[in-house]
Amino acid sequence: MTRRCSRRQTRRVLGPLLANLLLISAGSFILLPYIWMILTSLKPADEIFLDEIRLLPERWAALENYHRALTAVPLARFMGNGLFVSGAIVVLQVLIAVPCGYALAKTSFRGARILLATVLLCLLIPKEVTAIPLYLAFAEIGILDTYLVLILPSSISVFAIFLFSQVFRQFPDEIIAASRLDGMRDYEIVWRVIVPNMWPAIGAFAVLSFVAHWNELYWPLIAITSMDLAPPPLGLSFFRSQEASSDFGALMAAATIISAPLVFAFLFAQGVFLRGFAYRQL
Amino acid sequence: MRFAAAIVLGGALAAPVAGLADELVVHFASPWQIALHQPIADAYMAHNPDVTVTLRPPSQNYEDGAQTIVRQSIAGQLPDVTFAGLSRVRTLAERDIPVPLDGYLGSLEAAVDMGYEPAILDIGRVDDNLYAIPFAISTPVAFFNRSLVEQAGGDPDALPDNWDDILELAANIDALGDDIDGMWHRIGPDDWMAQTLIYSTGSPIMTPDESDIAFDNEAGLYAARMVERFREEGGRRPIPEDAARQQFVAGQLGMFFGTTNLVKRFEEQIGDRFTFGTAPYPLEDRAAGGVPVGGNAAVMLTRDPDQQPLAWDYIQFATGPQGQEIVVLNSGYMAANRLALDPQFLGAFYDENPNWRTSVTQLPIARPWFAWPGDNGVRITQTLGSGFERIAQGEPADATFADTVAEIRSMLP
Repeated sequence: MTRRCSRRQTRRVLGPLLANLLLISAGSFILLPYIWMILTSLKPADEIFLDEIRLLPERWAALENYHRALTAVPLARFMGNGLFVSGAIVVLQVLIAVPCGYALAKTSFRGARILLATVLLCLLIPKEVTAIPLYLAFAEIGILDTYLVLILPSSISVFAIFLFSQVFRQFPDEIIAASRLDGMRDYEIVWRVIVPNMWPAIGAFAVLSFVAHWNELYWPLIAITSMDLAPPPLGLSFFRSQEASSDFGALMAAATIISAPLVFAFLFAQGVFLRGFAYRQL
Repeated sequence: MRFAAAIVLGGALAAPVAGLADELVVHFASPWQIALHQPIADAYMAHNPDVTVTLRPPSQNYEDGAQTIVRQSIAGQLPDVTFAGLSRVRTLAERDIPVPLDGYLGSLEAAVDMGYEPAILDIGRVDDNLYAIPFAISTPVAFFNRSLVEQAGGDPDALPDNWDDILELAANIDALGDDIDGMWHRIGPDDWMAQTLIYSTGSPIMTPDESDIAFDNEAGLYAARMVERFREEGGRRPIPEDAARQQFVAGQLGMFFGTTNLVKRFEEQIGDRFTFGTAPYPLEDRAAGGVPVGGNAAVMLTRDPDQQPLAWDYIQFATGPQGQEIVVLNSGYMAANRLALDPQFLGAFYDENPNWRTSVTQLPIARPWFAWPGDNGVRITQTLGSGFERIAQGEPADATFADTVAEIRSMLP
């Protein structure tokens, strides 16, 4: 009796333990490059490539690496730019995509299907295709080299429109009909009834979009000519060199600094993010 | 509503646009070279307190840099000066974007007095017009691990100067241990090293009238077969350059043939774990052979006659002895100006650091890194580089060379 009980207890402990060990080992495999990045950022140049594996340096160089990363280039300024530009893009994308998604999902009008098909087709256009026409158009208007030109081309996300319209489709029509009976207008229904129910989807989209624009370097390097407006990845590139070999210590220090806000943002939004994924099966 | 707020905010935070006569706007490619351009801009402003030098965000590489300049020339956004990859000067010149500098430089004697060697100026010429003054340049050299060379029975103070002896030494180093390789030679992805091997025989890359390639003969076959010998006799493994650099720095590679530019980082990354030396690139024809010069050059872009004297003054400063001292000390590049070798600038430094001096001794045999003519120029560069890379990975030299030559011919204008 007691033996059987203890065996059951063992199984109850052992099962989750094994599962967790498996998850931890798989997780650390994925984390390894990040751990190596942080470890490298602590090492002096002559201890980075050795004929043996040395996790911690004999001579610590964390201070000089991080000091170089922060002072050799205006990294803080670049990160501030990234925060402002990516934040503004995400806010605009949500503000524009929510009503569009609602219109496509819950209202019927002539050409709705064609419009939805157009939205889907737009998903196929790579950003490189539109970069040069956009550049010339913005040059014509005279707004190159401003924050605006960094934000504007990304302010409409067809992916968000499509995603949100799929979310709206699953929203019960009865609630919308009931709200309408109560005298609510469409925009009230969207922002006061539906949106509070779709935060997981918005949260998931916001994290993905923020990370993508935080790491964007292609369009900014076309559109801006002032160092003051440069995005975070430019900060990294100053330490990377194909011809002369990289300054690996400072490069890894800068990479750690630049990815830190994303890691914190993800941890902060983790709950919402995962619920969004599971809920909508993105 | 919030959209409008963003517009107002964006407008208010817009950076001021360049265009004042006392401001000079400079663009460069390869972001790490901010380590050269920022100190030069600071030094120039210290000499000229009335002038503001503004550096634009750098392009990621020379290819992007040239594209950026072409794009900005269409939109009227050009900087006053750009530092273009040596093989990209032609791309810009064919589109008539740069301002020729012959008038500013004056006679060749005057140029030599200013420290510009004729061989160096030739690198910046396209169709007899001087469009660029070399700024940060490098030549291929041999790096070698002194202790491995010694252990294998070689003399670290006198590395062999011909491939037969070098490859024999490489085989001996290879035999020292399972985790030790004898040699690695850069091949691709571009055609810099293919051109190096061809130039080392004394052959040009194209015929003088640029109607056909000039190395579809013994010179080209020699180059292709050398790559095969690196693999078979020298034990060169087909690993990426980054991996080979790391292997050298870890002390497990006997000899590394690549750009002199690496000398600074090699010193930093090796520290005092072992000592390494450098040697000139081995020439097949000692009298006629040469080495192609990689790197970038200053190009004037401003069409504003009021702005041009300032742009020229800055180019002269950056490519003159003071600018070149900054370039050499902050990278592994070699001095492009003879006056920079004077004792008051780099003379003492080169005496104390012979590893850095090797590339300077190759200045007299410098050849332009040949830029292919026509719209397919960049593709020909890649075709030649990848053809040689295929030989390095195990394909037969003669047949692969014949394929590559045929492919290049089909792309010539």
